[in-house]
Amino acid sequence: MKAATPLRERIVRFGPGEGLAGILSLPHEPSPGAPYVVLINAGVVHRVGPNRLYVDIARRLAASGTAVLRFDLSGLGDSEVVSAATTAAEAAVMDIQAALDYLQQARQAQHFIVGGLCAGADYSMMAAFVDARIQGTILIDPSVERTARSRLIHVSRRLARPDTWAEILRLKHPGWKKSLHWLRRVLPKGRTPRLPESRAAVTHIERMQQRLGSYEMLYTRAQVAQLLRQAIGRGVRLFAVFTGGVNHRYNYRNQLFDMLPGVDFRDQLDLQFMPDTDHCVSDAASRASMLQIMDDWMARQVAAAAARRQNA
Amino acid sequence: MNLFFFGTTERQLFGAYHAPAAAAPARGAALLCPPWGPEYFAAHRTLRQLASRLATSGFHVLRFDYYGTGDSAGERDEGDLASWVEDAGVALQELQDVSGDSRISVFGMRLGAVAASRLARSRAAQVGTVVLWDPVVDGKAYLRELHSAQKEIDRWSLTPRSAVSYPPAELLGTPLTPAMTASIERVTLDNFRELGTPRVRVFLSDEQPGNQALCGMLRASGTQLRTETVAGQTPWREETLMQGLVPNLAVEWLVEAVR
Repeated sequence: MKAATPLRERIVRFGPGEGLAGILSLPHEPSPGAPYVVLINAGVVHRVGPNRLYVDIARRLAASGTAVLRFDLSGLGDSEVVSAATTAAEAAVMDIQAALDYLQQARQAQHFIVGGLCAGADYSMMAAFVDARIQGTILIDPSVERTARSRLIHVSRRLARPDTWAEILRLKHPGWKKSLHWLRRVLPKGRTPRLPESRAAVTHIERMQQRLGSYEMLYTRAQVAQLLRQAIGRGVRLFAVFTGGVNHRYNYRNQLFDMLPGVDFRDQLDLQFMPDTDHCVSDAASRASMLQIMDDWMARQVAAAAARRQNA
Repeated sequence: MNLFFFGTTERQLFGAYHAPAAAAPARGAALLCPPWGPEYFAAHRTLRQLASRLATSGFHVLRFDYYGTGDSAGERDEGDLASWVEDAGVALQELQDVSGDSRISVFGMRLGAVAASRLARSRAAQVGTVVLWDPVVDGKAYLRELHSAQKEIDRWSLTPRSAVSYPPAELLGTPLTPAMTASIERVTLDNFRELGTPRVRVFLSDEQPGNQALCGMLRASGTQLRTETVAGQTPWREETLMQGLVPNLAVEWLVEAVR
């Protein structure tokens, strides 16, 4: 049994009617001037994070001097439905801002880093686009668009597998479905091969689910580039991790730069490519490695904040 | 709903207490024991809904996380079924202190049902009803089932996680230590013998040979047994979580069955 350091964690409630619930991990020895970190739900998984990722992040960063809040967005986990926003993304940004308001008022926090996995990463970036209190984001497998090179890598990897050919020959491969969709778009009406209605409905739902929570829902790629330029311009720092769990979309280290060629990230992006781990960074070795890298990055943010204070 | 920590400083546990609705008749108290690993994350939403419905009908309810899981202290690779039963015992005492009820209904889902049944046997005087939701009755078969699911994922993954040898060090994203493996593999129907409580409720989402044997064994032992089987009421499956579904048929039957 490992020797356990007693945790310093507090249950917190905030937002409309104190309906949002979270857990604040506090450091035993706080780093002076360190920003507060706020972690946002990955999809519908409650605040502990997929395979307990957020608990590990919160306790690791707290052990190094940074306070971390993991909380449940409206309607998720142990939070009530408090938002009247019309979309999940708008509600998430409002809830994130409610968390920042709470930490400002109750803990006198001034600066924040917001982060998460998957949809949590997307919502974090959206919040950073609109809230100047956010100085940095932790983005683990955020939504990204494919590039020509990433498509080529993906397809060639798939074609190298016997399983793929077996599915193609049995007409079970999803490529058949996509081909039919493409044909429906390009062929004149009346000559379009038709999917059964039930299958077409399912396909529509699947496509909508793929888009939910992604930048595609709210922004075009040009808008994302513009918003990123603005955020970087005001000093927002990005810690971005891409895992093997999204290798169908992101599969070479510098894909981010090919996706957004008009964005100069300056020295404000720390890009980590971890193709050997899964989407939730589940295996012990990869998780330990990512936590170490994240911890080091956070230490640099704290040092930079201290330097800025001194200069001011 | 009151979220709080309890237990000792070294073994801090997370709990969520749902107070009974003021207008409802007093019905006692209910402790919910969650499942393990990948099933824990998927089931959280449904267990919260079950707790809420039980509270609405008049129960004091406590949900909690075992040591090394959820928001409780401890690392992912700490704990086994024996330590879970100890944690459930601490939670039982906490709920008794909060509610003032001397006999508690103990719910358990999947491996949580194993912990619930062992708790009932060791604390017979404190447990009124045992409620089992798709209990794991064959630990070796359960691990093989999860391992098959892992292998299916790995078939298409560039980052396969399942070791060639069995048991793997990690299963569906959760560390599987030798201690945990051994404690799960030892789970058999015998786990549910002589529960020490006269009332047992069993909810099953599908017909499996082990489940029928379990019900037969419980009937033969003279317990007041009620069972229900409804296909597809499987909140521990990831796809149920991702679809945002709560299996309401199961939740409503369980609430009614313990009144």
